[in-house]
Order: sequence, then structure tokens, then C-alpha cells
Amino acid sequence: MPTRKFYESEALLDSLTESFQELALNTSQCQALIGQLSAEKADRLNDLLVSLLTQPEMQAHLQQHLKDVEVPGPSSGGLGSHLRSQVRQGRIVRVDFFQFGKCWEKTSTSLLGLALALITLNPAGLPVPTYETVRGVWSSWVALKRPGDDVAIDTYEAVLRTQCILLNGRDPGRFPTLVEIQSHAGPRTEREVVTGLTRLRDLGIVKVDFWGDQEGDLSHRENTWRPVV
Amino acid sequence: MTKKVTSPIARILGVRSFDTKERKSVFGDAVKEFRYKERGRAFASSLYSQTYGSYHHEYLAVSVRGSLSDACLSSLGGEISLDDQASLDQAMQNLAYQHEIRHFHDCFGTLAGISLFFWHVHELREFYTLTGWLRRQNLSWRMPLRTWVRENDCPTKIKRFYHLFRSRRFHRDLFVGSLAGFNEEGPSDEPWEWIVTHPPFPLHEEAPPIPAFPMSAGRRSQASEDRWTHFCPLALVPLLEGNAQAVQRSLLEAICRSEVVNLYWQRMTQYRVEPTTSNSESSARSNFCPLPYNVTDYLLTRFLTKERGCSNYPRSLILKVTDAALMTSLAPSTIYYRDPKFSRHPGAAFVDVLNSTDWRRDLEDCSPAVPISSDDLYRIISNYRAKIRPMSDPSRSHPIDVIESYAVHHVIIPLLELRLRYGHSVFSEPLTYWKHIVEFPVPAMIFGDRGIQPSTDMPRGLMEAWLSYVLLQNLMTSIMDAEHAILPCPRAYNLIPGIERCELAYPESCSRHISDRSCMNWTSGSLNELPKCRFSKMLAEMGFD
Repeated sequence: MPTRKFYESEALLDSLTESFQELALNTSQCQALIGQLSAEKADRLNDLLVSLLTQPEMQAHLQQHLKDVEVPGPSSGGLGSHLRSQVRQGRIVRVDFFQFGKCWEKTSTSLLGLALALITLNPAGLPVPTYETVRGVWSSWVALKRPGDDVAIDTYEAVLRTQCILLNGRDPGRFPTLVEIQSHAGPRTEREVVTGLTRLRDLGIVKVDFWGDQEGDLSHRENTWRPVV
Repeated sequence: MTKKVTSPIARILGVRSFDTKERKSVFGDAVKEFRYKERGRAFASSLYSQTYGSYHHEYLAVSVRGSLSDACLSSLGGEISLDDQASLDQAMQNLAYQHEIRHFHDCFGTLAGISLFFWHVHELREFYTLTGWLRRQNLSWRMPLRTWVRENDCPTKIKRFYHLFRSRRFHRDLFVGSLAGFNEEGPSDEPWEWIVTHPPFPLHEEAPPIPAFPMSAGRRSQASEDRWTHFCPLALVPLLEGNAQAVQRSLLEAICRSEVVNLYWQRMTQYRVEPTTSNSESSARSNFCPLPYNVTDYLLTRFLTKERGCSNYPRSLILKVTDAALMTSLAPSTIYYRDPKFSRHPGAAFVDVLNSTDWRRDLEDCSPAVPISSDDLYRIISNYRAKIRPMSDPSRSHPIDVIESYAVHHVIIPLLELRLRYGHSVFSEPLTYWKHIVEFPVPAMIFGDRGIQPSTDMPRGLMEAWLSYVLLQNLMTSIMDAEHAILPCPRAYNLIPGIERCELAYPESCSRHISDRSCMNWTSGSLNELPKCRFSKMLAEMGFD
């Protein structure tokens, strides 16, 4: 089973890559997506993810956590993590190194990382949330497990997939409608997607950004949905 | 007082003996001791925020920013009109190629650079042989090596190689000048002072003193003014940079407006204090990092002012003194490095040249002697021809042998033959150098922003050998330096100049694996997770699991 290995300064890049693979999207766009973030926001997102990955709940899946590791090369593509890194002449020189076994806890954290990046990238200029907020959402999200929560997990992935596609399209500032989400939800029917969204909404993982008609009508096809972080 | 020194590496090179002066100087005989602090090893040409190019001696490669065609055109005096360039940056970018190529010529056309290259090759061959020995013992490198060498089950051969590698690295850093400068209170108006630096690990032998240029440094604030002396170690890098800068400046003056030339000089002589989190005076001092381009220029100015009371001299004098120094320097041999007599430091050679030249003559006529006669050159060339055969089919030989043979027959011998044909002035007179520039060989690999330009006389199969050679070189360094059981892929992390242009994976491309992050690093037990590529193949051949 392949493992996920990354230097601390690559946490965001690794999360986006793992998410894109999970969502069957082209991973070559991950670096560009990070490039769209301001350096400050990218740093903060990276640090948020490292904080999540070093929680006690993750320890069981952490195969290696090496401290004070020299970052290879002149162009490691890393982000300026402020947690443990040592910076010399403006360049990160030493960070932690992580190796995770393939597990849902890591994948779910990566998907949340993508949600964070998508929210932060929104032209509305949403701020990077606090660790406490993200930690709360993560607890609800990671508690979902396949196969019992297949519908909710598939729906969340469809929300992220659709948002990624919208971001590269003509309307990057808009969140996806129910119809758009369903069209990127694979075999899931509209009814299943509504069920999934409702479950996710109850858990505080997604919310309606714009009501298509009457407030509270969760099945309206023009409702737009966004991840909560 | 002179004494004869017969160096084993000199014998390998075919040089019978050197007349080496005892270190005797009227200037600064006391030796100052400093703590060793290493800095980057590539010869990067940059002005702090901008890097224009870099030269990588052990890889026979040059990397330049910008378009290769523009760079080549400007170096050959083509149609490009630098007078019309609005910015100096453009001129610097276009001249970066010529600057880096000059490093290549100074390195492979002098005994200092040739012996340094053979040192790299020798060490790599030793590492490769040791790997083969490990495999025959059903063993492999255990990572991290620095931990393994402290354990009882580590073979003595490995322990010995590891400690030699670290010791050699230190001596090579001294030779090349890959060490940070040192600060001291108070002014110094000496042209050089002798310094000794100690690494944080035990050495097999004492580090020899090397000369350093005492540069006046200062930092002024509203409240106070802090002044100190920054010692710039005089080693291979400042000598090479001084030469390249001199020919670059001559070319710039020939083709650019005076405003651009003045701006160039301003930029070349700027100094900077690297930013740190602390604003204290001590951090300003420890982060002071002057550029290496003018160290020989300043030193020569101060020397001539003291010696003759005049500070004006023809620019070619820098090239003459440097060439004589580089032709009488030898990198410490891998075999014989224990005895300091068997090597000669370029900085010490530079100082020897200054001390042994008769400065009473007109400076235009002053020509420091290069003590390598035509007979010596014939002997050196014959020696190479006899010992290292040309490769007719690179695919049938080991990459280390292929690269060594290529360097000897396509680069070193042609450069030494230019000395034979036109005299040493072909290296030390800018006009003679430019007149014959098209006869000089170019590096095997030249990397630009938009691609690779392999040497036109590159034999078939050399590219393959070069890739294996640089990968092995990089892997050796990674294994020796690793503090943890992690080996980064040089392609994924751009650890080798121009490697991003090369395809190491099959059947899927490196870029696909890198964007999927399905390769990146080897960690213990993860070999089968890596894709099929040259990196994983090399790891497998070395016994990594």
C-alpha cells in the first residue's frame, strides 16, 4: 500500500495532490492552485494542515515523524511553515518529515485541506479560519466512514470536485448548485445527493451559500452549496 | 628560499615537480584562527536578488538564465546590440553565458581545476567500488550512514570512507572557498592575512593556513557606526570570479554605453547584510556577505599600493596573476591528501605569485611567470593520452570512465593544446582570449530556461552516461550527508542543474509521477513504491530496499 511522504513545507501540496487523486482530477493543476493563493495564506493553510496532522488522533497512522530534517535542494517548492521550520537567508532549511500509511484519517484531512484552499481562494476574499474552527469541522468529517456513510462522503467529494471545476471556469467566485454537484457525483442520483448534503449540513460540514428559492428548501436545484471551514 | 616538492598528483598529471616558495611574506605572518562555516558549493553568478547563471565543475555543466540563442549570440559578438538594451539586467543576462564559460575554461584549462575534477572522479569511483564490495558481502548502505558508522556491525571500509569523505569535503571547501568569511574587530590594511579554520569534527591532519583578504566593513545607523574587518578566504572561487568578472567587464565596456558599465560596477561592488530576525550589531556582522567578484582586484590594488605606491594597473594583470596561480595549484589528492605537501592551495599560490614577481618593471610589461613550460605541457598531454583512452562506444563503458575520458579528450587536452599553440597568454590576455574564443571547447551540457544545449562534439551515448554519472554523484552526496533514512530524488527536487529537462522514468514521465507525488523520496523499505526510473533502478542496484 503506497504511503504519503512529505516534508512539513509540502503539507498543503501533498494534501491537494491526494485530494485531486481521490476526486479523479488532474494533479498537475495542484501547484498552480497553490500559486493562486497569496504567500501568507498558503503559509497559514500549510500550518493549519500540519497542526491537524500532528493531532493525537493521527498518531496511529503516522509511520514516521522525523524532526529537524534538511529540506532538499534549492527549489523544494515548499511553503514557509512557521511551526517548526528553520529559515536561513529567507529560505527554509530544516523542517519535520511525515510518512503516513494509506488511511481515511489522512485522506479526509487532505480533502478538508482542499476545501480550505477553495474557500480561501474564493474571490470574496474569505479569511483563513482559525485552528479551533477547522478542528471542529475535522472532528465531524473524519467521523464519517465508508461504507456506512458512502452517500455523504461521495456528496462531499462531488461538492469539492465541482468547486474545483468552477474555479478553473468562467465563474470562479460562485459556489456550485445542486444540479452541478449531482452532475459530478458519478452514479449518485439527485435524491441521494440531497440526502448527502442534508447529512453534511446537519454535521456542520457544508452549508447553503445561496437559497434558490424559499429558505430551508434543501432540495431546491438552484441552491448553491459550500464547504464549511 | 625555495624547495622542491614532488607531488604524487603532479605525477598523475604528468608534472615532474614544482618550485614552491616557502610561505614567506612581508605581509601578515601571524595566523588567525576561525570556526569553519560552510556555504553553497555551486559557482553561482548572482547579484543577491538575481541569479544569472551558474557553473558546476563536477557536472561539466553550465546553467544560464534566459535564452541560449541570445546568450550565445552575444558571446560571439553577433548582431545583438547591447547599446540598445535599456537595462543592465538584460546585459548581465546576456553576458552570463560568457561569464560561466570562462569558469569552465579556467577550471579545465588549469592544473587547479583539472586536479579538482580528478578528485571528484576519483572519489566517485571509490564510492562505486565500495558499493560493489558491499553487494558482494550481501550488504548495502544502511541509512542514515552517520548512525551506522558508529555501530559495531558497520564494516571498517565504510567507516573509513565516511570519515575520509567528511575530511576531504572540508579540505575541498578550503580549496574551493566554499566557506563563509570571518569577522574581526578593528581595521586591517594588509593585502592578505593568513587564517586557519577548524571543522566541528576531528581531522586526520591539521588544516593548512590559507590567505584571506581583509575587507573593511561597516554599518552605520543614526545612533552609531560599527566598523569591522571581514576576511574573505582567497581560494578557487574568488580567483575564478575575479577572472570571469574581468573578461566580462572588458566585453561590457566594448559593447555597452558608459552609463551601463558604471551601473555594472556599482552593482558588482555592492555589499549586503542578509536579513535576520535580529537587528543586533553582531547579527549584522555575522550576516555580512560581500560578493566574490572583486576580491582579487581589491587585493592586487592594496598589494601594489604597498609595493609600488600605485593602485592603477592593467586589468589583464589580474588574469595573469590568477592564471599563474591556478597553473601552480593542485587540489589535495584523494590518495595522498594526508600530506599537505602534496597539494597547493590556489590562494597560497596567488600570494606566492605576487611575492615572486619583480614589480619594479612597468606594470604593462609585468608578467608573472607560469612555471609550466611547453615541455611540461607536452608531457602532461602525453600522460593523459597514455593513461586515459578515448571512448569509442560510451554505452559499453562505465559512466564514470566515459565522463573522465570525455573530459580529458574533449576538454582538457584541447585547452592545454591552446596553451601550447598560443602560449599562456591565450588565458591571461583578454584580447588573445577573445580572438581565439571559437577554438575553445564548450561544456558538455549547457542549460537555459528553454532547454538543453549539448556540446556539438558530444559523442553518441554521452548524454546517457552523463545522466548516470550525475545521478551517482548526487546519490553519493545524499547518502553521505543524510541525517535520516531519506534520499530525495534529484529530479523531483531539482538537485542537479538542468535535471528538470531530463526524463528518468519509464514508461510514464517524471512530470506525471512528480505531480502525483508518487516518487519524490526513498525512505526505508519504500523502494517498491517508487516508479520505474533511473533513480529507483540505481537504488535497487545499490541494495536499497
